Amino acid sequence: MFGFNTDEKLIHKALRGTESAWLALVKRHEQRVYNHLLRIVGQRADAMDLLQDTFLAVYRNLPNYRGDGVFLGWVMRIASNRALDFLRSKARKPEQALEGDEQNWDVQRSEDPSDNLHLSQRKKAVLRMLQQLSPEVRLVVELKFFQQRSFQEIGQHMGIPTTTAKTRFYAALKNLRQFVEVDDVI
Amino acid sequence: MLSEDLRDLLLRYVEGEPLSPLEEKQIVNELSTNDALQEEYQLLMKLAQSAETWADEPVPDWNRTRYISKNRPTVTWISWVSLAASVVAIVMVVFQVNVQSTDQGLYIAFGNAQPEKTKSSVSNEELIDKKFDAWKLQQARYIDDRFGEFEYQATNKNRALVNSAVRYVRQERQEESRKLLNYLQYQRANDMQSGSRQYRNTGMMEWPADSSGFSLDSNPSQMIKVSQ
Repeated sequence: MFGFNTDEKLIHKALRGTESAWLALVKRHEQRVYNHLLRIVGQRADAMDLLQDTFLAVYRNLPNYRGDGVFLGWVMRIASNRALDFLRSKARKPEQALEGDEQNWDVQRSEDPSDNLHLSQRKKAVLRMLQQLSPEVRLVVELKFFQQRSFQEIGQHMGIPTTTAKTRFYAALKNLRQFVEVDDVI
Repeated sequence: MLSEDLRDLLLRYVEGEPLSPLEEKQIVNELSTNDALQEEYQLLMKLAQSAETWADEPVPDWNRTRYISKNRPTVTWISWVSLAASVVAIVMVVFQVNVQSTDQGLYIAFGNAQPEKTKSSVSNEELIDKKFDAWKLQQARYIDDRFGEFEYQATNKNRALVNSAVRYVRQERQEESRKLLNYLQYQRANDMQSGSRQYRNTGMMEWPADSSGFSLDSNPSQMIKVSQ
């Protein structure tokens, strides 16, 4: 519609050096990318670092973007790879991921403070649950439930066969079932 | 142990995908009888609910453009100005734009159109024509004068050249005549001297004096003294 710039238009303008176009592009997608990273790495500071790293990589590779897919999908793929590299290099333990970051999981979706508290607790529980999984399996669960991707799309996103994606997903269910049995977190 | 087909069917059921009546009947029956499937169903529903209730975290403020100005070349305004100037120039050439400043103001014409002639412009043109004709006449006269002067000078120079040549030839001829005369006089004097000696040797009377009065004993300068 009038006044609405598609991703392709913004990319085209950004490639020509229009700073405002790049700014609009980042602002349009950063929240989804940030929350995606947050669910994978489990800590805000790390998610923020990875977000900046991701968009820097996107900006540098923007001339190579062929536009043959959804731009956000391309950005998410870069973000996922960065997050997996980060987790592999750090080899973080699940408990460490949430340390120092637990006190401020405030959400503001409801006017009722009790609702916000409930949502905040659920968010913490989800993050704690995801931290039980290995990074690759965690990414499959994230893509399946939070991005509503099919196994075929998950395979393309992670560069693995569809059957491997499915196997990882059912392995995640097995792990999560044990976790839920021990501590009913969700 | 759940079969893969049954798990896939359960996942599709939880995700709300459209199932055939047969598939729907099958999964409902299995869920009511199969505890393991029921357990997985509960887990999947919890996960799906967790995803649905996830409230997106706001992104902290960060410098989103800190790497832009350093890396990406920007289009400067001057390139736009040069582009616009080029376009204007091309348009003016293609459409033969004619810009004239007249007494009435600025006149812009496209193609071969000419501005209408006004009285003042006509009178100006006549005045210019007259002045131009007068100037042409003046130039023609000047050129004629210069040619006449040149001819006169050339004639004088030729005349002087001819006079000097004639004078030189005349001097040369006089010089040759003088030399010839001297030679003849000299020969005549020699002849008279030799005649006189022969006459004395034979005991005859003395050789009569030259009627012209010329003698070798006399001043030799007489030999070369020739009237000019």
